[in-house]
Order: sequence, then structure tokens, then C-alpha cells
Amino acid sequence: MIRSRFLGAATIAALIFAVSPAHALLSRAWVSGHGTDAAGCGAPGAPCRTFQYVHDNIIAPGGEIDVLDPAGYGAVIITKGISIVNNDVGEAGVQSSSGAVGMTISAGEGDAVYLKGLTFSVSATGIRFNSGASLEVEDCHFITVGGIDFLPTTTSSLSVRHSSFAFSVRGINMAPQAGGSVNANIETVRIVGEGISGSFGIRLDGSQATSSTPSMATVVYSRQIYDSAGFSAIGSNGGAAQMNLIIDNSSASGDTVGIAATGAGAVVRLYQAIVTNSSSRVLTQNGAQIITYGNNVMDGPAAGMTSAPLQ
Amino acid sequence: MNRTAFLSAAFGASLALGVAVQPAEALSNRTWVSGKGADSGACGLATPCRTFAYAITQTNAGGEVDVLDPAGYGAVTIGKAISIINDGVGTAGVQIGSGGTAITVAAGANDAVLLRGLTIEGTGIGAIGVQFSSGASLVIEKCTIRDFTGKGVFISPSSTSSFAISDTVISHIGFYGIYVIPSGSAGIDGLVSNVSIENAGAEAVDLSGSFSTSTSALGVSVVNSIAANSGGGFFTDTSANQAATVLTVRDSASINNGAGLGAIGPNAALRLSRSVVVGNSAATSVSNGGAIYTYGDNGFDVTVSGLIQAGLQ
Repeated sequence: MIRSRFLGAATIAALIFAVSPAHALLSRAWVSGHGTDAAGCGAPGAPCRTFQYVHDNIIAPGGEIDVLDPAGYGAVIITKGISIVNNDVGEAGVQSSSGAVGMTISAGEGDAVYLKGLTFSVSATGIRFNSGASLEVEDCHFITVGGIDFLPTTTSSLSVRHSSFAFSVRGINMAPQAGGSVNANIETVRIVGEGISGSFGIRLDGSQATSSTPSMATVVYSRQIYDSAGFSAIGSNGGAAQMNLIIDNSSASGDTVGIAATGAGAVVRLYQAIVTNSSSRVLTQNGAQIITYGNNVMDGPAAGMTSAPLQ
Repeated sequence: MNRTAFLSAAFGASLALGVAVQPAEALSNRTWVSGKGADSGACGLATPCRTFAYAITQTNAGGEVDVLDPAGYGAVTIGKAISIINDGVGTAGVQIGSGGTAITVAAGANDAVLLRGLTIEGTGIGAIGVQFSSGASLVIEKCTIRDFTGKGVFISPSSTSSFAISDTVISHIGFYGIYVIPSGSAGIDGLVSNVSIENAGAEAVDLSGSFSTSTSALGVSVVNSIAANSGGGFFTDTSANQAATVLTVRDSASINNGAGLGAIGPNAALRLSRSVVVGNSAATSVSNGGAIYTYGDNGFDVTVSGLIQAGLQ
């Protein structure tokens, strides 16, 4: 009763003081290289120009921004659940000023963000995820120093599908922060590194994690070459939670270390994986584990793995 | 000649009567929709229509509705054999409001329906992405089905039919990702290939024989697919005196679900090969006479008891 009275009062106040134009937020809005960021834009015949304007002014939470034609659509900060979809109309680019992140996601705890068909050309990090329920990245291309930094402070999920990373120093970095944990599925991804010190393809890094909730990242049907570490897991802060990395039907090659596990609670599982042409195929340190199902292909012996039976 | 004469006569008659009847144009085997179109006329390439629902009324059974450019094309119920095809021209969107079903297939017993390249969004309030309630077959290719409160794909025919879902993403679903539950005496034959099902509240894939009295087993094969972060991974169930089920899972992964695999009920069988089952609250859930068969080539993160060994041949 109190709540509905309050809402009623708020509604009346809104009616009295309704000064902004009465454009309802849309569940679908369009952007185009020929569009204009102006009040009321978003219909296919009157598209907007940038992701940020639509996010801030036009689209409802849970809605979908669609790309009408090829253009650069600008850097963007996302603070609510939203989809951005380019279904093969051509380049839908995200660039940022030198050293700045391309897309920052700081959404609410229940918010789902879905991205399809974007190209990130950024001299820093392509996508930095700080908060939200989930992030899905599909058919995206990263020409970036850092591809995706996934840094949740609650339990959040990450999906990366059919995407590529080029000239990459840090491909996909999943590092749960204090209170955070990660559930990630990475499939059909290709990462080409730069071969420089400290570089990695895909890394699950628990060093900042304080939650006892385990993190789990699965890499399926993916290819990685030419990094300091191909696929790696780093144990959680104090070893409170397991950091589980599963490499399933995927390959690492041309790395200083193909598969690395470091620190208590870091567990990497290798199932039908390929590790070749690397200075060191596997590296297990400081209480971490690399578990093999005995069905992986390597171009020489690899010491320090634990065997698990197929069932 | 006869047909032209008939059409002229019909047109003349409608003019004479002064009645606004539909123009008596012949239906086409191919119609077009566009964001710039209008729902009138025959939906030809030069004068496309605006919605799937209208374009279907202008399309012969067995024909195609093709997408010309990016737009939202509206929720639709399909009552005959039709293909709706977006071959990469941009978003061909289907949204639905609160509690609704975005695409319903309620076609005839011999009708084949195909959906390709659609972005089907519930925006957190729609109930069902695609429901197949009748028809001979349903093919879903290269679609994205997201953010529904109920089910992603709901296969619920009452006569025997088949379906195939491939190269598709199903995510953020309140209950089932793909729920296959024929009724009456309906059998089913299904394929799920290159499909990612993530963040479903209930099972990512569930094949249920509980409503069917089919005397042949209900069969669904899942290949190269992922079930993750869901209430359950790959499940099949049935009840006493109902249809037997066989859910075959190969080259797939069940990750971080409530239970990774399930076989519940007499004559509910799940067959597993070359798959990874890791990070689930329980690796398997088997009860009431259900069975999980393994070909001995799967990776688990726990030692699983009760798997039935099957030989490769």
C-alpha cells in the first residue's frame, strides 16, 4: 500500500513536471552511418548515429540496438542490459582514443549484455567488463592489445563465440575481483599473439579473487598461437576457490609455454587438445594441477601432468 | 487465358459491387519483406512487404519469404509449409511482448517449415522463442534465440514429426533451452548440431516421452553443442507406459549446470560419446530406471558410478 501510494504520487509528479519529450524508450533501435543522434531517432527510416546515444537516450533495458549499414559507431559505456547486433551488414566498428578502452560494461547485477558482429580496433583493451550478470560476444573481431578483460565482482558469465583476436598481447583475460567468480564458455575462437614477454592467449587469473565460489572457463574448438603462455590458469588469492580451465578440442602452438597452471587451486584439464611447437608444452607450478585424459596430441613428452581416466 | 479472364472478372465484379475485397492476385512462390516495405499487394521484389505475417498470406504453400534488408519483422504464426530466410543481409528481428510466443508453427501434417538467420528476442518478457505445435518438420538454422522467460525452442507436436536446430545460440531462458515433448501417439526425430545453450533456468536440452504413447522410441541427437550455466545439461525423461526415449550426445560439452546429464524414468536412455562433463553440481542424475550409456571416451571431473558401458563398433 505504501509502495503503490508512493508510485501514484511519483506518477502524478511526473505528469505535472513532464518537460522532456514523451518518447517512450524502444525495445529496438537502429544505427546507421547516415544516421543522426537526435531525440526520437531509432526507427529504420530515421536511424541514430552512435551506440552511446542510443544506449543513453533511446533504448529500453533489455532492448536491442541493430546496425543498418557499415560504419564506425564509437566507443561506448554500457550500464544496463542490452543487445548490439550487426548481422553481416559490413563493418560495425568500435574505436577509441589512444589508450582508452573501446567498450566498458558496468551494468547491474541482473543485466545481460549481448554483442554480435562488432570489430574492435583499439590500442588498449577492446572490452572491459566490470559488472553485470553476463556478457556474450559473438562473431566479433578484435584488433587490440588486450581483447577482453572480464573482471566481475559477483558471479558473472562470459560467452565468446566465433570470434578472432589479432595482434594480441592479452587475448581473453578472466580475472574475478574481490567477491567475484567467472563461468565462461569460449568456443570457436582464434587468437594470434605477438609473441612478446608476458603475453597470453586465454587466462583465468584468480589472483584478485577472494570469493570461495569456484570459477570455471571452458575453451572449445579454439586455436591459439604465438604467446608467452597459450592457455593458463592462476590460482586464487589464498587458494580459497578453484580456478578451473578446461581445454577441449583446442590447440596451442608456437608459445613459450603452451599450457600453464600456477598456484594452489589452479586446475587445467586437457581433453583432445593439441600442444605443439612450444618451448615448453606444459608448466605446473606452486601446487597447481594439469590433468590429462590421455587423448591429447603433443610433439614431445610433457612432464608434471596428472592422469584422469576416460569414462 | 482462363485464369486472366477469371481475375479480370473478379476485379470487375469487386469494382461493380464497390466492395473493398482483397485484390485477387495469385500467390507467389517467393515473397520479400523489407524495413521500407508496406503490408499490401503481392510482396514482390520491387514492392516488398513489411511483416512476415502478411508476407506469408501472399506466399504459396511450400514457398519462401525472403528478407531484403535489416528490420524487425514481427511475431508470426506459421500455418503452412513456408521458409523464412535471411541470408546475411543484417538483423531480421522478431520480438514479442510480455508472455507471448515469438514464432509459432501450427502447420499441417505434411508441412515443412524452415527458419534461417533470424534474431528472436524476448527482451526479458516474452515467454517462448519458437514453438512447434504441429507440422511435418521444422528446421532452425543460424538463429539467435535469447531472453525469454519460458522456453527457447518448444517442440510439442501431437503427430509424428522431425526437427533440426543448427548453428544457433539459445541463451538467457527462464526454463528450458530446448524442450521436446510430443503428445498423443506422436514420435519425434530430432537433431541439435552446433548449438550453444547457456544460462537456462531449467535443462538446456530435455527430451521427454512423458506425454507420448508412441510405440517407437523418441530420438534426438546432440552433436558439437554446448550446454552451460543452466539448471541441467542434457536430459531425457519418460514415465511408465509412455514412449521410450534415446538422447544421443556426441562431441559436446555439459559445463557448470545443476546436473550435467540426466536419464529419468523407465526406458529413458542417454548415450554419451567424446564429450566433456565438468563443473556440474552433479555429473549425472539417473532415477526410476533411466540409463546413461558411455562409449568410454568421455572426460568427467569426478568418478561417475552407474554408467553403462557400450562398445564402439
